[in-house]
This record gives sequence, C-alpha cells and structure tokens, in this order.
Amino acid sequence: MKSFKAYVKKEIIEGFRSYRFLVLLLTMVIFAVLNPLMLKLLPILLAGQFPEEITQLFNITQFFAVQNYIKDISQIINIVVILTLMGLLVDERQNKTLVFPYSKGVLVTGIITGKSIVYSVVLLVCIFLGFCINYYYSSILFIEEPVNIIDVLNVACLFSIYYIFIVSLIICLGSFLKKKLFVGISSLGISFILSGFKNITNLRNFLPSNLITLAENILINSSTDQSYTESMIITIVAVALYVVVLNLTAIYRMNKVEII
Amino acid sequence: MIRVDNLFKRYGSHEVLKGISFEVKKGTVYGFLGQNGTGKSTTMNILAGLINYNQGKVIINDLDMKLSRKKIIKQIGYLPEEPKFYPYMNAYEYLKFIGEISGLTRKEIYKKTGELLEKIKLKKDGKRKIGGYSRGMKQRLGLAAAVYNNPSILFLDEPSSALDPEGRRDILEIIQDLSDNNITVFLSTHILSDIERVSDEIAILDDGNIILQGSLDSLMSKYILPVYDIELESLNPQLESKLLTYQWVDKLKTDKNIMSIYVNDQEKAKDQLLKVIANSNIQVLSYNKRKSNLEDVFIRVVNKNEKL
Repeated sequence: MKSFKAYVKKEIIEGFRSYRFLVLLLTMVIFAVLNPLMLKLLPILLAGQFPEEITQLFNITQFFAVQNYIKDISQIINIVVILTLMGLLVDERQNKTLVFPYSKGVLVTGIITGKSIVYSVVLLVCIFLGFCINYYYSSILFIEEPVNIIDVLNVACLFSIYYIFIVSLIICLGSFLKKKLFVGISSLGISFILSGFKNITNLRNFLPSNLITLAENILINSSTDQSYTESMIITIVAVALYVVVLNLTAIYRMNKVEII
Repeated sequence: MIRVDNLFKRYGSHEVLKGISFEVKKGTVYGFLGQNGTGKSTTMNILAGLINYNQGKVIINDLDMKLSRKKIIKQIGYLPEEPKFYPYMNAYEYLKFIGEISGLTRKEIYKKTGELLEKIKLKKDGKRKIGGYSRGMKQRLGLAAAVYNNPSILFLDEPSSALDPEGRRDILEIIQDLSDNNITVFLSTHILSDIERVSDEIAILDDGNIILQGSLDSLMSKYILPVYDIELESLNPQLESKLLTYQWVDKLKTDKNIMSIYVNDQEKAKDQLLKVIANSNIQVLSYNKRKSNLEDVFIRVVNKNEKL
C-alpha cells in the first residue's frame, strides 16, 4: 500500500509538471466547445458557396451536435491519449528512474496500479467534463431535438471504460518494449485493428472497440432495448477482464525485467 | 556481513563474472577495484538485489539473496554510478518519495529529509528542481537516497567519479563518517587514491575474476617493493657492485650522486642497507624510503594477470 500511495502522489506531480493532465484536459474541452460552435457557424461559412436550397438542408439540432462530437472524439482522442501516455512506463525503464525505488524494495504492484488508477481517473474526469461542456454548449446553441443528459453521461461512461483499457494496454506494452515510439505505434495499431474487427458479429461483443460503437449508438437506441443492454454488459465485463489481465501481465513482467 | 561464493553471471554467451568469491566484515570499507568493463557494476547490481545471477551464493547479513531478496533490500542502501531522479521533482519531494517507499511515517520523513539535506549540503538548493542540478549535486542527493532507510550495508558504485576535487573530498568524508558509525561500505571505483584513503580491505577484479584481495596494509607490504633513494657525497662503483651481490637487492639505478636501490625483501633491506653503506666509508647526505601507493600494486597485479 505504501508503494501504491507513493506512486499515486508521484504520478499526480508528474502529470501536472509534465503537462500531461493539461494536454488531456484541453483536448477534451477545446473539442467540446469548438465542435458545436463550428456546426453553428457552418451554414454561415457555406452561405454563398452553395445554392440556398442546399444550405437550408443543414438543419442542425442538439442531437446532431452531440452525435457529431462523439464521432469526432472517438477518432481524435484515441491518438491524443496514446501519444500523451505512451511513455508512461517505458520512460521509467529507459531513464533508469526505477533503480532507486527498486533498491528500496518498492512493490511493482504499487507502481503499476498507481499509474493505472491515476490516469484512468484523470481520463474519466476529462471525458465526463468534455461531454458535460459539449452537452451544455450544444443545448444553448441548438434548441431542436434536445438530448437527455443521462444518455450523454452513459456515452461518457462507455468512453471512459474504453480509455481505461487503453491506459492498461499502454502500461502493459511499456513493460515489454524498450522505446516509447514502439509503444505508441503498437497501441495505435492494436486499437485500429480491434476497431476493424467490429463487423464480425460473433466477436464484436468481446472487443473493447465495441464500447465506442455502443457509445455512438446510445442516442439512437433506447436504453430499454434488451439486446443493446446485453451487448453492453458483455463488453463491459470482457473489457474489465482485459484490464485486469493487462495489469497483471505488466506486474509479472516488471518483476522479471532487469531495470538497470 | 557479505559473503559471496563462486558467483557467476552471464549475458548470453558472454561471461561477465567467472566464479568470484569474497567476504566483507561488518563495519569495514571494502574497496572493489577494477578497470572499466571488468564486472564491478554487475557485482554491485547483484549484491543490491537489482539483477539475478546464474550460479553461486550471495549471503548478506546471514540471509540468502535467492531466498530473502526483499528482506535484504530493506537492510541495504545502493548508489548507482549515475543516479537518476525525476527531474521535475525537487530534492525535498524526491527524498519524501523515497521515505514513503521505505515505509517511514510522515514525522520520520520530515525529520530525516531535513537532516540528510543538511548533511549533504543541499538544504539551500532543496527546493530547486533536480533537473537543474550539477552532477556532483545529483551524486550527493543519490547518497542521501541510498542511506535514507538507515542501511547496515551501503553499496556505492563509483561515487566520486566525475566529481570535482571538493565534491570527491566531501563524498570520501561521508564514507568515512558512515564507516565510523559501523556501517559496512562496499565501494567500487577505479580511482585508486580514493580506495587508499578510506578502505580497510580491497579486492581487485580483472576480467570477471578476483585476482587479489586482502587488507590494504598487508597488500601494501606484500606487493609493494620499496625503493630507497640515498644521496651520497660521491658515487662509488665498488659500493654499487657490492650492493648488487646481496639477494635482497633487485636492481640499482644512479642519477648524479643519488643511488636508487630497488629491494625485494623489505625487512632485510631495513636491517642491512645502512650498515653496508656505513662500512664503505662514504658520507650519506640523505636517506629516503620512497612512498609507493596502491596504483603500483594495481598495475603490477593486473599486468601480471594479463601475462598469465
């Protein structure tokens, strides 16, 4: 527990001073604000360039604005999160900053869980904040087709679970690979490959990328839709299992690896 | 107490340590000498519990490294050759972090951090980011981190290399101070004068083998062949010929009126040399036993080993 507490504090200091927290927060907030704003300005920007009949087709509602934000961030945030966090564990190995903690008998479990929990919580906060801002801002700019806040919070919840998986993936890969660039490329590759498999019906429910698909459809499907709820539960349980396995693998590996 | 028996370490087909054995008594400063790449740091990392070994036995404070690594780690301190810290932290924050890992209470951490920063003369710069520290400052901070858990054994890997003379003196004084407090210090370095200054016992490592070990005094008397520089009123060829007939005289060199006599038996030379010169009726202006050092021993044994 003492190793865990020490690493939680250390990760919080590092997150602030290396601007990782700031990058994650700003990415979510800027997109949350700019996305509805750009949609609002779109008909004005396009006026004069297209016939009036076409620009009148851009009848943007809050539903459309929130849905558009979900689609945009599912692509962009993935890249930002991976590029920001790819050095989370591998930097410590490369820079040999683990030598003193290891020589003082630090528990590897404390290091891995400390890192995993801090960045999972930070991403959860950033994602919820981003969605709340987007919801509030789009509700001011677009009055038609209002969206239920509960649905938006459910979307944020699914996104958060997906990014908890990504954090665990980055940490696990960092325990095997020696360069952060390789960790970044591998994490991006795995996340793209997983999303490529989403059309395979038998596999879909067991893939972390299904969380994003479910999140994209949450506003369309009713929360009472039974097959949708079943799919969501299966995917959440599977992803929780992957998170545990990835973290345990990282712990096992870091107990074996020579850090000097 | 440290006991190492027949220790082997291999990286693939490359054998770094080839069955080394040694023992370090409690409260002594043990100098571990060797050229770069002979396996000093590998030995240190094994003894500090940071890397595994292929064969042999490592016993520290009566605990076997293979069976009780975690218990051993709590009793030792380790300073790597180039200590690495989190550059965005300051010295206070880093030592606090080390204290938390070591399981100290908040009160103990507060007290210990202040004391150590005072001791290593970093109190004034304690709130500056470590990223802006000089190499010497980092080395001193590393030493504070190494002793944070009050270890009974301290492993120091090249602690004074890359330091200015003042920094080196400070580090050596701290080592001496630790030894006075009954802490066993295992000191690895290639700076022979440092070892000579603080070590009680030494071992010389060459190509993964210990080629010499023992107390500094016994090694000096055993391996250092003294040279006597005698200034005479005038040189005498008869005296030179006579001296060379003695078995305890190895060789003889003359320069102006100074005769340098290389001896191979210190006791006999001490007993007979002046008598022989006095019998020759030549006036002696000065008599000096040249002070040799550890460097002579090191060069002699390493070169001999190379020839073998």
